[in-house]
Amino acid sequence: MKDQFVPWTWKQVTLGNAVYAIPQDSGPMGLFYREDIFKKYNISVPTTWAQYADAAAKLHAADPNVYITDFPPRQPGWFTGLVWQAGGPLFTISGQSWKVSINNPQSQQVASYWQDLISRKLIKTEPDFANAWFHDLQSGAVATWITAPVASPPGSRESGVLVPSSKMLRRPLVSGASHLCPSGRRVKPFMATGVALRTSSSRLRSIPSRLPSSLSGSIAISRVWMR
Amino acid sequence: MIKGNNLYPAYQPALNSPLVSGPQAFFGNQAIGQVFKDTSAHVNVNFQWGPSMEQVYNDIGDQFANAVIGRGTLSDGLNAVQQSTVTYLQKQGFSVTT
Repeated sequence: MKDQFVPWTWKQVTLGNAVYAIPQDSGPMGLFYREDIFKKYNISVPTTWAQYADAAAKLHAADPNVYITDFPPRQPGWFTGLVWQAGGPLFTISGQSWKVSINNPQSQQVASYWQDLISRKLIKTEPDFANAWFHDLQSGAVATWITAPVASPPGSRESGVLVPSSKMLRRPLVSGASHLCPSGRRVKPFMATGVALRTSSSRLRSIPSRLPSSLSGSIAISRVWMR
Repeated sequence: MIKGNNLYPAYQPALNSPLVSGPQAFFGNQAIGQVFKDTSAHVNVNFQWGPSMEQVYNDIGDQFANAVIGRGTLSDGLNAVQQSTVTYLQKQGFSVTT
């Protein structure tokens, strides 16, 4: 049974030899980006975090109304995905104690990276899944969104295909998962497993109908690179 | 196997189904499921959640909401949440080290 599941999701539902739930949904994250905007300003799609910061500056310089992305301040599950990728432990178990390390060096590295972009006013900092945020995605004021595949909207038009980044992740981003417990009840992710929230929340499920069909063919996905 | 797609499955055979891993017209026929499938295979399996994620997430949200309007920094926020988490766990009766 174990081999039938993506390894990290299986680890989320087991403790020692005991299995407590069946993994159901998962949220590995990728870079959703507007291919047309990068082309328009002749900016290469980034393949490193450093290049992403450079592209943020270039995009905003090319058009002061365009930002590479939004930093959603009240979306800690998203931030945790970035820390997870960077290898930062928020909690570990030390004997019979919890070791708390929310501000571990990797967390701080992730925080410094985004703080720099915020301080230089190269990214937006509005709440995600709010009207203004949807508008920014639709109008092209925001050119990328680092998120999980549940954001995949339906559509019909064809356009160019993107080759995913050549500098692949070794420890990719992940934003969450949900699991079926033996009762058959689908459990709120972090209550059951401590997993970040995004993929099974009801508001996220409303996304496909809200990402506009006008963006059909404009968005491509790549893996998110390591630092 | 799958008839609709609002999930990204954890079940490996489902990841290979055409609906999940086939080309998607909206994305210019990119097979975006393949990107996420590759990603899934490399996620660090040992990430450990703590016993008070709801408190941690609430506190991070509060701190970051201040940081983005210039009240402190994200880094300051993490330091504050480190402290608030230790305090919270101790109040709950957990044994805590840092």
